[in-house]
Amino acid sequence: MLLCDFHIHTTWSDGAVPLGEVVDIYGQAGFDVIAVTDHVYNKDSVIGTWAGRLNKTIAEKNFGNYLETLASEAGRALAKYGMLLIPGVEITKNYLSEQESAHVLLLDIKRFVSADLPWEDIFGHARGQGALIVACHPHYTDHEVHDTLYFWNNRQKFSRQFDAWEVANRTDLFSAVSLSNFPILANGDFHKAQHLYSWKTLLPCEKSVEAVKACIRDNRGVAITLFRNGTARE
Amino acid sequence: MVLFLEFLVAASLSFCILQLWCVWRSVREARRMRCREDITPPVSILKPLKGVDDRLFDNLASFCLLDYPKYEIVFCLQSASDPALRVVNLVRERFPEREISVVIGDYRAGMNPKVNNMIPGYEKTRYPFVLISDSNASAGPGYLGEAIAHFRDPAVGLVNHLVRGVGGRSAGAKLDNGHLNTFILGSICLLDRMLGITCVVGKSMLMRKRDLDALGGLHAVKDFLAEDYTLGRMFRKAGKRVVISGHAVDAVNVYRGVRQFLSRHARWNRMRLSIAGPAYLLEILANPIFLLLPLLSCGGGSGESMCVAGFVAICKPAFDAAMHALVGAPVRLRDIALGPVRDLLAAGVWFSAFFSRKVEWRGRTLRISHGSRLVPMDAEAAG
Repeated sequence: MLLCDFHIHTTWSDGAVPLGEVVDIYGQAGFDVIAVTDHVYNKDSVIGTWAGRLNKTIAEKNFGNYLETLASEAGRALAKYGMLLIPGVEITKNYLSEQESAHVLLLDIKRFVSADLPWEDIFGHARGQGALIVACHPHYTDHEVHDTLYFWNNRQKFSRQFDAWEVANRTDLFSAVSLSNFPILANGDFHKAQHLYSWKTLLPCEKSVEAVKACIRDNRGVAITLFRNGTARE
Repeated sequence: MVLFLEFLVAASLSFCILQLWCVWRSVREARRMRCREDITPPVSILKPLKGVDDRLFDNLASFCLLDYPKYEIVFCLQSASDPALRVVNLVRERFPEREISVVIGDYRAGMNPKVNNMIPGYEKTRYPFVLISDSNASAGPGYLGEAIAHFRDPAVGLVNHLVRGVGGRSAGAKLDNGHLNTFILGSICLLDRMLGITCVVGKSMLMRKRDLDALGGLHAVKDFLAEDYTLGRMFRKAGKRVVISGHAVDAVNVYRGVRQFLSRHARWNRMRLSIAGPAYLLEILANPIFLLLPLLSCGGGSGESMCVAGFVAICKPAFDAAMHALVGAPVRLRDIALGPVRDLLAAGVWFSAFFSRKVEWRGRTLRISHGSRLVPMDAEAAG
């Protein structure tokens, strides 16, 4: 089974650890597949505006550089650790209301997708380039200051748009998602080194981008595991 | 009173200078020790693993790159679900030419979980020399050759290594590495040079297997928190010399938290108190920054006290920087500034040892009794 984390942030957005170091943290711990998914913020929110001013968001102007850097690190990760690195982003639409806010992972992305587009257009652009679409932390969490409930509240309308839903994020487990029969993933939502120890996905497939994507879409035999650094009582 | 406290601070600074001199001597001696090609017996390296330490892959890989003709590495795990197993498999893939074996056994012979973990692996070792090395240790290519060279002297029974903390990124890791590279390293070298007491540190210990077997093997230390110190004492009692190889082994601490730093050193302090008894009181002499507190409160901010405080505030960071440089772990200026904070935290942890002998270790509550022997608290309550 491949040990995977598909939700990782670096200093390209609001993560505390630079990309190269993130690759080393996961590679040194024996991971098979990771996806780096820095935020693409919507501009019509306070966080988005400030992230843009502080250069802490992926935008059209730095997207090419972001992809190039990821490709270079992907080469290093494969050569040194045999670890696959998939380029991604987290489309981040934050609003005052938690009911309106939503975040989505686009995995294996090749062209920039703006967070200012309507959701239907975002999904269309992502599908058009063969990216995987994952609803992240769709339910109430312990660690998010501001929950993102829009897709869960409108799951009947959007369920067909997603290749998977996060059933677990960092240390939160969403039992509502697990009971829904939606395809699932579990991710660490890594922002700092301690977040390595969090929920992860185990995939029964070959270590290649296409095989991983197919396995997530198919979602057969997908398992989740709480990656800990000791026994339960330590 | 003020005069007495000023004397204590002066003694403390002298103590630090003495530590520095001892480290310098140890390092200088080590540079003279070179691998002799006529002494290269095959060695079994025993690596107890538990979870993924910082930079685990690089640490384990460094032991596959030793410049030594014949050796095996035996990785010991207590569970097949331990995340370290994935890293071991990656190391095996990357170094197929190395003799590597993995022993998984949930063996619970005694109170010390690290020793429990090593016992099944120890039984599988095949070579006449055994090197016990912690999972967060990283070594240079010449490490094993230089260590084995000590066995030219047939009286030598155990070779221990200097340990330097490296790689700190988080505040906790920087505090930990700073404490290892100043107080711990300085004290080990001072005890070795001035008093002939070798404090064996379990990060890296090399010995003949037949010698260890004659002492009862690892079973003999299964109930001691300080299994390393106890092994050293047993070797000395058996008439064998215990020596320090100056080839420093890196203890890689990158992302350790402040709480982990405090908890680790609280455990070590309790252990040292149980071993050293009243001599433990002398340790505070290596902490001039802490000794300034009573001096300044008694001196009432007098010019003389302030002068002493200013002098210490300049000398101690300079001493810390020199210690780091001596062991080849250069430190940034801003990290040196963490030194006084570290010394004050270390003093708090030092005091805490007087109030509790309890340690929490892997889900069990244990009490440290005399000589670092571990006693389960639940058994005490029942008995």
